[in-house]
Amino acid sequence: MNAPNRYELYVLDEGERPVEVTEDTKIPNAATIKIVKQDHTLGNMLRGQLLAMPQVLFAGYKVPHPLHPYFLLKIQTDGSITPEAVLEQACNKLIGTLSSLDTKFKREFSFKEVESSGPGGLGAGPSGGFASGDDPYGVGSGAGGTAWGTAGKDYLDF
Amino acid sequence: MSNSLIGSVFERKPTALPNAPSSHLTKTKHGFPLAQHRSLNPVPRKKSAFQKAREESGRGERLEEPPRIIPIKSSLAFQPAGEDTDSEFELPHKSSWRSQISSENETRVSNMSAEERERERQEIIERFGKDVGEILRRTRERREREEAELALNKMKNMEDKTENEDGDVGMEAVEVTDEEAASSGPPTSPFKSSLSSTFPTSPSRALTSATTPSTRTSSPTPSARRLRFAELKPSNVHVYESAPPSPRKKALALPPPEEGGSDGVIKLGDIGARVRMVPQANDDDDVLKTRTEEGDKSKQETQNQPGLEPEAEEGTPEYIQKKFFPSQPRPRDVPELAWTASEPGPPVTSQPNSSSSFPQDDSRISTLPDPKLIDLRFTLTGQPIPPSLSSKLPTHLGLHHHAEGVHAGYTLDDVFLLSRSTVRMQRASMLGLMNGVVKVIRGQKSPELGPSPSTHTSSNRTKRKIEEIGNVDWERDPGLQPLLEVLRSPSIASQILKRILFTGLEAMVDKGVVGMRGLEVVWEILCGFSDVEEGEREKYQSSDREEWEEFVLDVGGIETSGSMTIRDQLIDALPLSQVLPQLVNVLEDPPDRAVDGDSSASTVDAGNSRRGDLAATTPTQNQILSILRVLVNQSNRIAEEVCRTKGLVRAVVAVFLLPTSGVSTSNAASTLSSFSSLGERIDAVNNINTLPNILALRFLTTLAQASRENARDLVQIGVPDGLLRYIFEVVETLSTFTSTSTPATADSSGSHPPINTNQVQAQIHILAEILRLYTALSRYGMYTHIAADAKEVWWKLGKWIEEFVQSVHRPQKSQAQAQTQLRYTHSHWVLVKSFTTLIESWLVAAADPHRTTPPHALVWSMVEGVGWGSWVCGALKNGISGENSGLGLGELHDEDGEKERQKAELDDLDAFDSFGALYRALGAWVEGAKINGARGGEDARKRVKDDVLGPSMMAGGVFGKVVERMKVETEICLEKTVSTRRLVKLAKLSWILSSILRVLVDVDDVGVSTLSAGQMEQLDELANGVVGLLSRGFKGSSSKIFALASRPLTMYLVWYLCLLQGSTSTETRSFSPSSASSSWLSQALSILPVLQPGDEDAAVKVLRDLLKSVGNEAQYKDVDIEVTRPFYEYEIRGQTQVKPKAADSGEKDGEQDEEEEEEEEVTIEHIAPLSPTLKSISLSTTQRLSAPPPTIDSATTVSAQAIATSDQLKSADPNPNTGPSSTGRRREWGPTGLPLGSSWVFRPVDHLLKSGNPKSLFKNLGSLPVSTPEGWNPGEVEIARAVLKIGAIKKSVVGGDLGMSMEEVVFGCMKVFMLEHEQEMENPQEGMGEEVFRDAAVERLMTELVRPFMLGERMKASSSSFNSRSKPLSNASSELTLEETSLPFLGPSNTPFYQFYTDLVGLYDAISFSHPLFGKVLIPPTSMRYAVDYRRLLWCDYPHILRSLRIPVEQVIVGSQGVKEWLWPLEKDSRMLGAYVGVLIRFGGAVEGFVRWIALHHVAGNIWEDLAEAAGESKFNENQKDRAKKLLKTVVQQGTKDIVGEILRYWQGPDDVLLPPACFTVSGQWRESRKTYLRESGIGSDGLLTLLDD
Repeated sequence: MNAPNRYELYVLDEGERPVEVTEDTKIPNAATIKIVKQDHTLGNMLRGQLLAMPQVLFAGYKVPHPLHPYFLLKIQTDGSITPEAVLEQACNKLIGTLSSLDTKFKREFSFKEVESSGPGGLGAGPSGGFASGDDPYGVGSGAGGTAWGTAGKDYLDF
Repeated sequence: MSNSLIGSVFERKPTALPNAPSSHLTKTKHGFPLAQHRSLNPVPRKKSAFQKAREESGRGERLEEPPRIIPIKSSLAFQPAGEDTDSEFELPHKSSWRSQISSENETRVSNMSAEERERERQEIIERFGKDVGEILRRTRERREREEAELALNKMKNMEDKTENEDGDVGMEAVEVTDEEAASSGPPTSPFKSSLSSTFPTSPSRALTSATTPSTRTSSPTPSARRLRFAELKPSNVHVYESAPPSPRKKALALPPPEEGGSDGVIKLGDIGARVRMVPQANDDDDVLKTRTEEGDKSKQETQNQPGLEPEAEEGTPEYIQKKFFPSQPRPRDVPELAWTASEPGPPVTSQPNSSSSFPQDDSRISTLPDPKLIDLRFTLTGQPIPPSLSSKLPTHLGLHHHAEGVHAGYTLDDVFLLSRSTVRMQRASMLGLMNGVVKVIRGQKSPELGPSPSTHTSSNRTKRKIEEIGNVDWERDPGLQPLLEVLRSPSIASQILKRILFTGLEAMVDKGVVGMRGLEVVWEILCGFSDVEEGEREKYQSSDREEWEEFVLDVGGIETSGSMTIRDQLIDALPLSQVLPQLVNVLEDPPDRAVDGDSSASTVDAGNSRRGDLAATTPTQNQILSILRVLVNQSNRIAEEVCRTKGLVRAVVAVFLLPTSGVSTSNAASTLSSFSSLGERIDAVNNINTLPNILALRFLTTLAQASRENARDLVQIGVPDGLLRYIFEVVETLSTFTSTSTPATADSSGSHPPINTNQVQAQIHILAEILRLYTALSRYGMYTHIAADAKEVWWKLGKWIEEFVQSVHRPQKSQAQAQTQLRYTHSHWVLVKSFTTLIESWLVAAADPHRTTPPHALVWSMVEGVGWGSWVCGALKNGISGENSGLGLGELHDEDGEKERQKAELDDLDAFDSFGALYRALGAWVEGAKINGARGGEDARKRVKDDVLGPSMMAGGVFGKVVERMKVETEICLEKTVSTRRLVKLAKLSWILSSILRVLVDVDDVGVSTLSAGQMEQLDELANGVVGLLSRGFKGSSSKIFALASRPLTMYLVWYLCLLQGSTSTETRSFSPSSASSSWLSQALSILPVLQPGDEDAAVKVLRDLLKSVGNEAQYKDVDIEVTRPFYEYEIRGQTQVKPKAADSGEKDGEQDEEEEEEEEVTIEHIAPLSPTLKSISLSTTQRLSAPPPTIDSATTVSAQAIATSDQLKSADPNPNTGPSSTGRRREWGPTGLPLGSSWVFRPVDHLLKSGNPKSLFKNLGSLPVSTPEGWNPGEVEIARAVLKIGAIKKSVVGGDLGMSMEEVVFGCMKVFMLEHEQEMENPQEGMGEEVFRDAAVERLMTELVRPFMLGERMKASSSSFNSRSKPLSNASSELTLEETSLPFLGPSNTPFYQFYTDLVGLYDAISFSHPLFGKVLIPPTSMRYAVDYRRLLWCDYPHILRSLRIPVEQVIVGSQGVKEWLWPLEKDSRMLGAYVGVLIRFGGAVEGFVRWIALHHVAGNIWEDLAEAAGESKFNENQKDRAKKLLKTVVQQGTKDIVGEILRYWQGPDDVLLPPACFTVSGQWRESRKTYLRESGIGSDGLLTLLDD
């Protein structure tokens, strides 16, 4: 009914800028970044990447309204780097992670095509690739499910 | 009409053993009846029974005649068949049909084969013994002899009706019986023994077989029976109580058998008629039974073996079916008919005649809510019979109805069934029984056995026997107890009571005894349970109760609904629109109008009759009145409905107030004047019986108090006009009486016989009640014109009162005199009080003529003309001077011991009470004079000051005394559980005191100048005490009593505040900590939250002053406090319901729907304050408090449930509060109304958060009595600032921790943090669009608010052990968890607190920028007090935010338990432990402060067994040991050195919490054992061990 047109979710309006950065006046090294025409997909990834970075003290995002296609990313750093810079870094890292993921996936997929009846060892490779990819939260669910790898796995079972 | 008059009424069976042989004696004569269903009978029904019989015999179709079975009493045990025949059938045609029959028999016998004959013969001999031939011969002889005397017997047509004849019959019977008994006795054994083994003492049914085809036996169809009974005279039928029997009445039932057996004793006497009558009930059953039995005889001879129960099978539906419808499938094979199948098991020897009106009374098919109740049986008085006894009780008690089963008594099913009987007496007795059941359910020990127990047995001995049953305390019977418990369990009891209630309602409209009983049942249910509910009052004597009732009326009453008790459910279930008109009818034409005095005396309610002025009305009418009173008290809605019911009020007035309206009243007046002496006059007044009923007056007063509309209706009907006549009469009498008697009392008390004083007292009482009704009306500004119109009467009354007040304090000469005086002072004082209260409301009404309805009914000049002001002033002056002179009643009887002294004190209180009313009137006068008088009423003020205030304020004056006593009472009430009576006393005292304060304030704006510093101090102390009392509630008293008793208390507080404020008004109003205004401020802040419903006006006033005063405070100039005022006002007023004015639309579902706003014309429910004000006179819609919400109990159950379910929160169901109805009791969120409660400060934030809620202020602007300033459109920040500022000021003024618990403050702050809606910021202020909590002022204020709860502050506070007044209070309330604290806001069904917390954490995660205070607020729900879900949410789902939660340990917000809540008990949840370890390892040094400590604590606690042991927790089991090892391994392998070291060295004592770093440096034995453990388990290297060295 009052849902916006589908295209509004990804098409920029006239003169609309995709990213706005507002420096926080009260909190040092903090900024609120408004990213339009994006949703949780990007927001959560960015937040996770940022949290994994040691310079970042705080990173959070929210989608103020589900029908408004933008999110607000709040970043506070320890001062060694500005929020904008850290965001840029994060973006770059994220792109790197994703493209490596992409290539890995494609590679595995082509393997699969080549050796369609190949040995079962195939499964271990890609899945390991998935798991060892950057933890999107930086800390992992359960704070270290991946972090304390082998020791933790059975530990979680008790 | 299967159930004719006699029907199956009779339960009692003759006790003698059955005389079996006789039942078959005549078989030979008449042959055996062919088993033919009557429906197949070709004879037309309408034929006379007799003729039918003839035809049958003539046609020979009936081969057999059903034997007559006449159950008779012991005295008739051996009445032979012959006799019966004789007595019944000596009809003219007798010989002819006899011969017909015998010829028929002969032909039949001749047609039989030899074999058949032989068989028949054998059968007869077997059944009747060998000498049956002899008997038959004798019978025949006798019959022949009698036939000769045929002519004699004309009258014997009626033979079974009249006693004489029965007597004759009885005499005849004797001869034969004796022989027969001797001869035929032994052979009867098979039948008899089987019977007697089943029924030890059971009904003897003389089975005299009818030798003749009597009308009765041959025509068992109901129609035929009716024909037969048409011959009866009504007098014959009317043998048992159609009116309740009186002891004078003759016993008509048979006496129970003699103990030694019944042989040979034959008494027929006057009970003969009864004997004839009684068996009728069973006749039909038995006839049918016997007939079928006989008809079947040839086929089932073998059945009649000893040990078999011949009757067991017969008469059962199955039997009938088998017999008569053999082609049909057996019922047990057809599911639909399965219920008819007789079950094995307890011998149900006979079912009621299946053709009778009773459907299958199969107890298996029970309509009762609980199957266990089938076993519960009752006597006819409604007394439960223990199961053990029910099988033993003799039948003559009338309890073996229909001789069904071996159990005596009626099950509830029976009762309900029988109560629908068409036989009126049966209904009546069942209703009586229900009455008893109701009492049993209520838990009354034994139902009263009044002079007329509701049983229709009237034999004295029977009654005694039943009383014996009744007198034993069955409550403790082991068999009965569980049943009673079931019966009394609320759900079942309410179901049963509902059924009983409706049965009663159905019967109520009936005429005669049924109607009476029906009403009695209704009364018992509705009125009886109201007493139980307010059980506290039952302990007191009637005088206390009376006192309470008067108090309730004085303070305006309260709705009794809302407590969810059984009674509430019952009243809710009442279809009032139907019931009330019926009640009117019954009231106007009561069923017991013509009943004789005995019965009325028996059914009169004791409570009602105590006044003795009800003689003119019947008990039923009185019961209706009390039913009406209960209904009217229930709720205002019902009260309005009652008032709307056409003719109801009129009927009440006509019946109770002006009994023989017009005629007798005018007669009374004329008669009065014709009597010469005074005594005669008074007698005349009483004899004429025009005394209005006090209860009816109270009923009217309650009606008027309930709503303004009711009051209007009452005035329109002319009720007060009618009563005015009576006032004239009484005042006339009084003035004569006083003018002659006052001197008389002074010199000799003997001049008037006491009876006169009693009567005068009664009159005074009634007068006081009438005045109370007038007061109730005038509080709406109605009927005030009477003040001017009838001023003469008022003047006379005033004069009389003045004299009375003076005479009380006149020195009395003798003790005797004092006694007479004392005896009637109470009602005198009551009169003084009601009159003065009336004057007060008139004075208020007169102050502004536009406020009354109709306007200008009373104007100030009239008041001045009558001189009430000076009258009040004078009366009070006299009273006070009397009091001050030391001759007050309080001192009179000190030497007479404690009891006397208490009584005197009570009288003293009465006097004070009246003084209080006088003070109030005085206050009203001064207030009115200020408006209307010259120079602002300066004269009046001066006069009051000199005449009244001076003397009452001086040392030892009224003021001092009242303060003194109130102080004592307050202390007592604070300390222990007190009786209602004490509370009333306290309330009264406080009322008086507040009245004095009111005058003080009125007279002098600077009222304090009249008071000394000491007095102010006293008042201050009192106020503190009262606030404490109100904030914690009275121990052990119900919420209703609390609500009522607190009204005068809050009134005191309000006037005290006024006084304080007045004292500061001349000084600067600005806030400075040391000035008097700070004391006002602190008092106002502590008083506002405890103001109770009904104080809305006062609360709003206090609030406005408060906000103004706070707003002036210099410290926070940046905040505009006023923006919050609409919120608070809405909160105060909010609960007042808005209801559509049009009555019909409001009725739709009975509930006022606040959201229903389409209707423009709405009246706002407005409870009148205790003392009328100009505003209340024109605006208030009711004077009664609405029912208080359910008590704390339900709140705690809800929270318990919330906790219980929070474990499942993670599962799919997001809403744990769906389910039990207990949660439904909590109201949804909305303005709470008064009392505001301790967290009232934060309320505006609620409205912001719930701005979409229909109950939010934002949705109600304009429709509510909340005035918002022009352009009022505050932003969230502004509101939050204002709110927090009030909180901060409260904290600084009141000191300590705000009077709020940690949970309340934290939850308040949480709400502020949640204010993150992006506002429509048209005018962006600093930091636009930012979160509210980022605002500097908000941040600062919040920090200030939570500071007292921080660990560091707490420890400082406890170490310095400061003594804060509010300390104990806050401790008491901090027992509540956040979940409970949040309930009023979140509501029971919307959001669980967990959800709220999830949102809060998510918000923190998204936008907080690690706001420190925000982080601190997240911590409280993660303590071990709360469910694990909260910790899991924070630690498992949002572990990354823990890194940013940098909370120093000292700054963590802790509750009253301190930080221990987080430490113990140790976490056992493995997911949580995993999260703790994960956070520690993952973030290492990044996690600090409190979070790190907690994680270390729980991990260490689960690794080191010694920690758990030290804390007194159980040792590790195998699993835990295993886990400990794994944990240790993980930590050691992956943790940083810091973490590992801290875990190794961590120590925590169970008692004193060691904060970090102290907890890492403790040394002790445990270090060694840990080392050992490390070595043994082989974890870690030596380097690890060195960490454990100091």
